[in-house]
Amino acid sequence: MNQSEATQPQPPAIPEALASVRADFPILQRTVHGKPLVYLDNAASTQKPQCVIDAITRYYSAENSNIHRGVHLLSTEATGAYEAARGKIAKFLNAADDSEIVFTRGATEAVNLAAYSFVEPKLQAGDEILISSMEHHANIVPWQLLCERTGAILRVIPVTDDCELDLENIDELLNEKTKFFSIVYVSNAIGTVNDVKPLLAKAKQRGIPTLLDAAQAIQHIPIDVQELGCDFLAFSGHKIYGPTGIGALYGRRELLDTMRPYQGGGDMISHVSFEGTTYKEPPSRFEAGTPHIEGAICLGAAIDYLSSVGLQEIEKYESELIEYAEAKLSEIDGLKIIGSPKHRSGAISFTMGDAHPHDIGTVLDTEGVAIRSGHHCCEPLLKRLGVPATARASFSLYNTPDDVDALVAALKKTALLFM
Amino acid sequence: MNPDLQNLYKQTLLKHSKNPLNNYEIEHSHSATKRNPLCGDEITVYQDRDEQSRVAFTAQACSICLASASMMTEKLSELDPTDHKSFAEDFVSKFKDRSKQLDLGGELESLSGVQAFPSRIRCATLPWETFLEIKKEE
Repeated sequence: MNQSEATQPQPPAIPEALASVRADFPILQRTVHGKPLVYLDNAASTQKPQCVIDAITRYYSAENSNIHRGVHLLSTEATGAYEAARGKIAKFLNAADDSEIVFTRGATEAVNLAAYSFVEPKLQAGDEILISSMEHHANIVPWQLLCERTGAILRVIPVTDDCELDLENIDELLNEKTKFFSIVYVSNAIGTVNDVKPLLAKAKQRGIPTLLDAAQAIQHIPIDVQELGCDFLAFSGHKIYGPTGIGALYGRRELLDTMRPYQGGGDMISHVSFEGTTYKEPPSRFEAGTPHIEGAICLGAAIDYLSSVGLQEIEKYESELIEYAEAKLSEIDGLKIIGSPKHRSGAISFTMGDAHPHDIGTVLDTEGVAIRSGHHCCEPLLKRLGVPATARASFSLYNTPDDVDALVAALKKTALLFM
Repeated sequence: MNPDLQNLYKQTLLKHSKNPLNNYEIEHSHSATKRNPLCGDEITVYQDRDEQSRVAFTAQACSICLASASMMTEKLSELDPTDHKSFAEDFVSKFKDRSKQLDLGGELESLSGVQAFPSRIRCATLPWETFLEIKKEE
């Protein structure tokens, strides 16, 4: 081996558990602009395995019916499948009970639900809610709206130039006025993995309830809500190989029991009269109307799929793949990786000389490489890091070292145009 | 290279984006700012209060938006200010009506390749829409 070969980044081997996963995703066979699709926009939404697509067909072909209200067989079967999906999620997160899983439209609605039903009734003007500078808009705007309604104050943990949480003043930020603490596990824009467990513990010691935004963590890192010690956790189905329009809020049952309904109507009632209404117990209390039944069932199928591959295998492989991608991207002249967190998962964000990320995205698209460009719904974070927009490559269990090589080749073509 | 891409990033467009013309702030001018919320790009367009054919811009934007802004300021300087509004409206509507063949004329023709990339049309129209904001405020 000569010296230049010795310094070349070495691609990770694809482990046995992931060897055949690409064949499970039919979309990966398609071409884009005449080139094989290289899908590196997984932080925005992941592709769906055949078993999830089949679950949608199966539901509409054999089980379609409303749930929790019919005595006929189809309704009984649909209800069973919907509730079984809840159980799968509870087990996947190691919740203490199935009733701790509330189906929502996604992570955004899950955060809004917690803000409206749990936090708002407890707030008074001058109280504080703590988030971080690393949040995506879904974990900023619901809290801003809540502060506008109540006169509470939003406080923000800063981030360092490396895009880590700057915890120097955490003891001042988590104070006696803090009534809720909501924090992101993995940054969608940069890929920073936050060491959330000690932070959640610190909040707990001070009696402050917590929400963990796991939208970008749940598909990459094994999660145990009891071990992490969060009171709530939010995630979206479409980022873990499931359908869009479905997600969940995990909430400790003891807290869910104290919460007011989120929306009214349909399945959340126990008894209605014009004199007054009583509500069902959680989680039904928070699932008004006919829910996204097939979404929940297919999310269950996605969880089955993810569990069959194994989150530990996925985490290990993806971390090797990201390390390889970082090394390869670092070799491109003028390319700057944004942030250098100690622990990165899911995504790498970068800029390349004067080439605008949207122009990078367009050139890459014509090479079949799908990435995201822009502010990634994290405007405050990008402003803090001094970049208006970045290009972001985000990875999943079906990405390979060849995908990284295709990204690098397409970026070199981009450089010819703009650098 | 992909022919659509070659058509998108024509030399004229790249020339304008790398060295945009009239890329400065005009103090005490009529001005308007617009953002593309999809990507966070932002542009401010200025029109001199007295010498109305003098239009300039500052922006944090992609190559297509920068080139479009640069060519816009040049084109408007050639037109009678009374024709500015209708020209800008016509430019925006030509891009938005994708059924029509784009016929932009002159250097602006180099923006025609954008039509093959629907997600980038807003990049080309943003400077013109911002200029129309000034006209709205007048």
